[in-house]
Amino acid sequence: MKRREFLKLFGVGVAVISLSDVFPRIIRGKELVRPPGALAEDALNAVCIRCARCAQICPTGAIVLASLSDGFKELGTPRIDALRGPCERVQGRCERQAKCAEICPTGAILQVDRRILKMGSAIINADRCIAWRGGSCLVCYEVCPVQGAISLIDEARPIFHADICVGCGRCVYACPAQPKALTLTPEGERRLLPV
Amino acid sequence: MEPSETRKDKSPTATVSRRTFLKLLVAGVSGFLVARLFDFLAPKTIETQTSTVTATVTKTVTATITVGPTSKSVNVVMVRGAPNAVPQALVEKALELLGGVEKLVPMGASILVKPNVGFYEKDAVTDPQVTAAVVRSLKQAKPGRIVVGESSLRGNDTEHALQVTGTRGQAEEAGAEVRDLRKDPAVSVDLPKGRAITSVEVFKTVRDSSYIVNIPRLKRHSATVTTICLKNMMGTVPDSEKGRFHQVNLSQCIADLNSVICPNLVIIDATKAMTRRGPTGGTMVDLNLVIASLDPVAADVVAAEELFKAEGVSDPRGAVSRIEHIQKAAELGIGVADRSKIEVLDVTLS
Repeated sequence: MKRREFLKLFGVGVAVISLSDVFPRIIRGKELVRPPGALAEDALNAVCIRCARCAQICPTGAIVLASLSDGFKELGTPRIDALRGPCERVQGRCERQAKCAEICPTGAILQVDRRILKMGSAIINADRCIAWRGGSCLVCYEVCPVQGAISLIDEARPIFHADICVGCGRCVYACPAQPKALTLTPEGERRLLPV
Repeated sequence: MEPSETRKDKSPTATVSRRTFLKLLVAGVSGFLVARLFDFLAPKTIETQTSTVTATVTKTVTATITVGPTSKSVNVVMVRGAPNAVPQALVEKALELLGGVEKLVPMGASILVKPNVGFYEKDAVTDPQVTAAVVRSLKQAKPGRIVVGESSLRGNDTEHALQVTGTRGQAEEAGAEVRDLRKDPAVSVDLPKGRAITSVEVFKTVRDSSYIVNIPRLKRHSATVTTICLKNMMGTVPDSEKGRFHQVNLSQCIADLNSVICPNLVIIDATKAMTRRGPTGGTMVDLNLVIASLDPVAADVVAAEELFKAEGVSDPRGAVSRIEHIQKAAELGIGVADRSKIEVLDVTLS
């Protein structure tokens, strides 16, 4: 009896702690960066059958499945995690065709012309940036596939232009600062409405 | 009586099971330890290999350097061709002027050819025709093996870069094995002369190579002003080390790396050069030029000067003297950066 009580209390405690952290996010959902050509948020959550094929085929491993902490509605849907890899739709192995869109069985991710693609934008935390702190780096500028998305002050410090950036996350992935000076956000993303 | 008997019955079984348990535990732990010991021993033997190999590499480096002081000048060869000249002719002439590939490369050597294939854009990488030409020329020296190896910059896929730029196809056709170095295990190498870092992880293929031929493309670079021979060696270290270089001190780390992982021969692809901006998106200028040397520092100095001339910089030599990583490499004794001590043989092919 005592043991059972203890376990009950323990269970309740664990549940409360985990939910208190997750609950607000489950209700609101986190702002996620979605794969290239993903439908608008509500449509995506409705149309996606959580089959995970996009995550399996992504050549860089950038697509991961949203967890419960990303939101209840979003659970199991694809999102881009730039820390695991960049999206190569703009330049690289998916230049011709987005492999995630190609394999998606329900049309939750569609082929979108890469010239009008925008998954989000990278933002910089200058306090963490090696170049802004006086070091010599500019790896972000080296890897950026979109001309004009990153410009330089005095040829040494990078400035990010969210309006030009397409949010491929290559700079975020490549940033050698620890912790990373760059984060990928869905800010300014262009998403599709289902036909 | 009864309870004590049961107790008696139980206790022996209990002690036995405890004993067996302890026995098993000891056996398990010792087994684990033995396994660990083997694990521990295995890398150690490799480690000893490391030090010997490192030693031989350093030896060849010092040998390369002594070429300079004894002849009181370091030779850099520049071969210019007509517009759209065949890279093969330029490379062959350059090697001939350096003394001939048979004399340069020891017979049976395991050669690593290190082009710059860090990018997907053709302008930003070593021309695959140059890579193939170098491989074909090196084959005349009857080496043991020729590996063309590269690891792209972090975020780019090396295999994709090798394919879209045509490097894999052309180098394999020329008879080399093409390797994505990222698939290689990394091994630690000491940098006794290092000022910013004292050891570095490099790919195994790089450490195991007895002769390194560095064939960069002549380009501008946002962080290091130019990327030619010295900077190109960053492709021999894993991503984690590339990141560390940027965190610590990029220019010094490049110099430190080259103090041990140093090319024996450099052939710079300046058939086209990337000016004003780099390592991607710069303005391409046709120079129809190949620069070769045994001294990567001297080659960088001469090539950088050509690059600045192509850009119309008013004082190209002054600009070269301000390139940190080249000067730091010279300070470590990797080569000669003093332009007045470098003898250049400038040849134009008709």
